[in-house]
Amino acid sequence: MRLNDLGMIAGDTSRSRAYLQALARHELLPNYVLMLEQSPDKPLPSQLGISQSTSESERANGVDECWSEAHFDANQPIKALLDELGIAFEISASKDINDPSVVEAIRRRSETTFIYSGFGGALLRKEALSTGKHFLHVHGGYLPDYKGSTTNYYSLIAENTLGASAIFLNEEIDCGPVLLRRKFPPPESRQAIDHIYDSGARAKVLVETLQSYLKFGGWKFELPINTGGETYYIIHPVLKHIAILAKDQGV
Amino acid sequence: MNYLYSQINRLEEPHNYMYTPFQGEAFLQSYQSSRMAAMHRHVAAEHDTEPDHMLMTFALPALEKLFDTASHGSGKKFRALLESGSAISERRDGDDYPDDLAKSLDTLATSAPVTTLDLLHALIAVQLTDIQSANAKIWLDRLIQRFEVTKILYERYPAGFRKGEGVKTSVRLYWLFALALCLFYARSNGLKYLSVLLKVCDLLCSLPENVLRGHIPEHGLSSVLAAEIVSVQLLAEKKGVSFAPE
Repeated sequence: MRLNDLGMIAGDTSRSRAYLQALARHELLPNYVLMLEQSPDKPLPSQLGISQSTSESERANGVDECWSEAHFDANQPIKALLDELGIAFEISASKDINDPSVVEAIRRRSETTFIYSGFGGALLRKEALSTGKHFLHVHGGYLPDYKGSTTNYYSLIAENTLGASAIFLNEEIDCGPVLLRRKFPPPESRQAIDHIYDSGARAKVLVETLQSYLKFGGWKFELPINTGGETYYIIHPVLKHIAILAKDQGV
Repeated sequence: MNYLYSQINRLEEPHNYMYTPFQGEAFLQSYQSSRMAAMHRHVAAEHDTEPDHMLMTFALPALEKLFDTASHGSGKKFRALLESGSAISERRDGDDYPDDLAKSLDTLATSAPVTTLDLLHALIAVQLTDIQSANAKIWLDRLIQRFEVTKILYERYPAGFRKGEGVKTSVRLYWLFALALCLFYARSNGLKYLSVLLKVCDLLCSLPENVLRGHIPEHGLSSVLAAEIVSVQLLAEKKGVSFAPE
């Protein structure tokens, strides 16, 4: 099924690859994709190198239903998939969501909601938000408790769970209204969290959010006011190692 | 294995810590070995700067008590680490109590310029007194946000507390920041404070001795490193992670 009112803004990252493959599996395809391009010789941190993606994909195993969207092909470029699925797309020369050319490309589209899967660290500025579109983003963490960056490592240590939360973006980081959120048990291979399980958890929540949209004929909010919680910053590697190596699974 | 995060001067080349690789238990061992080596560096000021020294002499027993509360025997472990780094700093007769400094926290406001040294003194002092200030977390979070975005602490922050101004290489500020974080983590167990503490200690350990020397009180560096190591060990033990040194 093609969702005519739904577009997508995507960098070619492992996350976007997980999203598109999950949407294809569940027949929830966007009507249009705006690809944010970047210099091919400078992969951004949220992109996988071929060897890294292959090794992490190999580590994603198990049959746990909650990780159903973690079994994606991290090596399939999104352009190839878009061609295969026959989804209309344009390529922006800028990787910046706030670049005037990107904002204009979004503004002139008829779709009212865009899945946002751009490069990490970008915050939507006034110009992008003033297009009147909804920007549907899935945050890698359980909101409102875990805002900010790499929160799944923090929640693994603190409560032995990962999380993902679908929100509409606003001007504040991870503070938009929450449409749907889920907690996940630790995956079998914690070493593959960065590019496989984090993306898989987000893809799962994205699929469920769109299924809810279709079921109810509109957007429902699990947590309309997303205040409070703690804001985290990129986890230090010592703590990241403790999160991955943790044997005591108790809370 | 070498611990890479403090191998080069992090004031000159900050690390962004994005997508750091997993290197197994050996990485944790290399972290601990690297920190233990740094504890033995002699970088004290010839004459202790005040109130930094006074704050440290109050902080050490407070930390020891907090570690013991978290896990029986941890205070002793902390004390042993301090002794291994010759880091015993006792309170001296005539040392002022930090109450006045602590009270100054509530006089700060984001609508006015803030001097980072004053803010840090107040943030440490308030954690060493019975004065309860909800502002401690608010101000520490603001400073963490500034540090995490830039990996720099500026001498002062104009009204609005956004872009900093003035000197950005004051070793003294980074050390005071580390001490404030040690205390806050030991009391709260908030993981984000330990994560920032590790980054600030990476920075301190990355600096050459001639840059460090003269800006930190006697035993100051080994004190914050001992508190950091014990905090990490406690967490690792709780999570069943082996943490034996190399």
